[in-house]
Amino acid sequence: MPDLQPLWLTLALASITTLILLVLALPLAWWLGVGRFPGKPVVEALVGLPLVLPPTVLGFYLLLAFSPEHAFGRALDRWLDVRLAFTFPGIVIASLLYSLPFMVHPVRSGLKHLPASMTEAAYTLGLSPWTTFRRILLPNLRASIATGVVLTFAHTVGEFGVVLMVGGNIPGVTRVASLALFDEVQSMNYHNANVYAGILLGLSFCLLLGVYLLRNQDHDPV
Amino acid sequence: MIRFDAHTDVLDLTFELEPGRLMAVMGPTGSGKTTLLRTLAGLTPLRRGHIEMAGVSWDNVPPQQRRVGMVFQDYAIFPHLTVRGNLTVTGATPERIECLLDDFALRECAGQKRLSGGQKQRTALARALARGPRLLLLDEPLAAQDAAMRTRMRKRLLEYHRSEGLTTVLVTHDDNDARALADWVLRLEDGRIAQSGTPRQLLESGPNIY
Repeated sequence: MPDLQPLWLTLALASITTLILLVLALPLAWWLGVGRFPGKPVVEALVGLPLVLPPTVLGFYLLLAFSPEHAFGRALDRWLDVRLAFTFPGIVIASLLYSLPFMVHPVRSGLKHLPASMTEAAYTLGLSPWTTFRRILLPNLRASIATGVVLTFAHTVGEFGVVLMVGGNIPGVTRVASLALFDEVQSMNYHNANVYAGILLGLSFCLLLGVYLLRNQDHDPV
Repeated sequence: MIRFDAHTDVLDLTFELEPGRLMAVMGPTGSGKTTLLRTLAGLTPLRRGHIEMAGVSWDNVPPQQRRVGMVFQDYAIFPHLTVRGNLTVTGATPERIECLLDDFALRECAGQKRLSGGQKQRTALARALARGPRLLLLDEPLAAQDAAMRTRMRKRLLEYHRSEGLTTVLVTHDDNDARALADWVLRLEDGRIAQSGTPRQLLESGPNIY
């Protein structure tokens, strides 16, 4: 029986990443959806960058940033006594950046499909932009938010390159299931590799099934 | 008194509307009727022009502070809320909400979210009135009602307009709505006033050209 700790670590990483992104990505999606400001395409490109960037590239730059050899890592170390390279908080931050578009894009797409008159009606009824977002738009974005949550969770579960670069492969600290699977294959321990792979496959399939069920439910005729 | 003075690519018109009047705005599709309502509501900024309400400039007043009630052409009902929820979100008192539910024939569907077109439109009308607006902006507010309900809703609308001293701008393609409700009619063409006058002057003079 393989070590289950990498699986728990994976679930912890995916859960924490999803929860934090849920809080951060909703206002960001709204801001990108309704805001008109100079430099918006730059922000959009930065948010979507992890979709096309090789994970090792993001991991490499984060590793440099977190390193005490460089300004950001040195400042964290000196002023806050925090080290992020090869730590669990470090891979959480990497996951947040890497999974950001998987939460922002579905919510933004959901916002885009809501009629503008819904927001406008709320404004004429005296509701502030924030109240309109909270009480009118958010409840109508439930399916999009659920899609974002599931995709973010699933994507974080499947992370490999960025976690390996930023976290190394430290058992009990940063060795998530995808890295444990890789180790088992390297050691030609195919039984354990099969267990990890099977669990990841089953989990990913169930999560994606959840997304498609949600989408179909969302498009049911009234 | 509302003073409206717009000189944009879409709207090029000036008018004054006294408090308590109900003005119908008619004209072909694309003549600027909805834009006029949106501009009055503060949803479409007026780049060149000026709006004044009771002597106060509305140029920089956001929609939330204009105290308007607006019925949108697509009703803009909040689909996650029941009919009662759509009225409650305005902050209206429970007594006012109950009264509106009765007056706009919404009592039976008050707890529902899935509504017919007519029910949505009546909900939008009731919701626009819920907060006690001083300016009511209506974009084809009775188009989805059957003949009997249309007559009933005209009556209700007129009662609210008169009893609450509202100033109302009604966009309609229906001569009968304008005849029954309006005391002044503007006919727009390409964002300009093509004709204006009482319903009798404009609508009795010939066939419907709107």
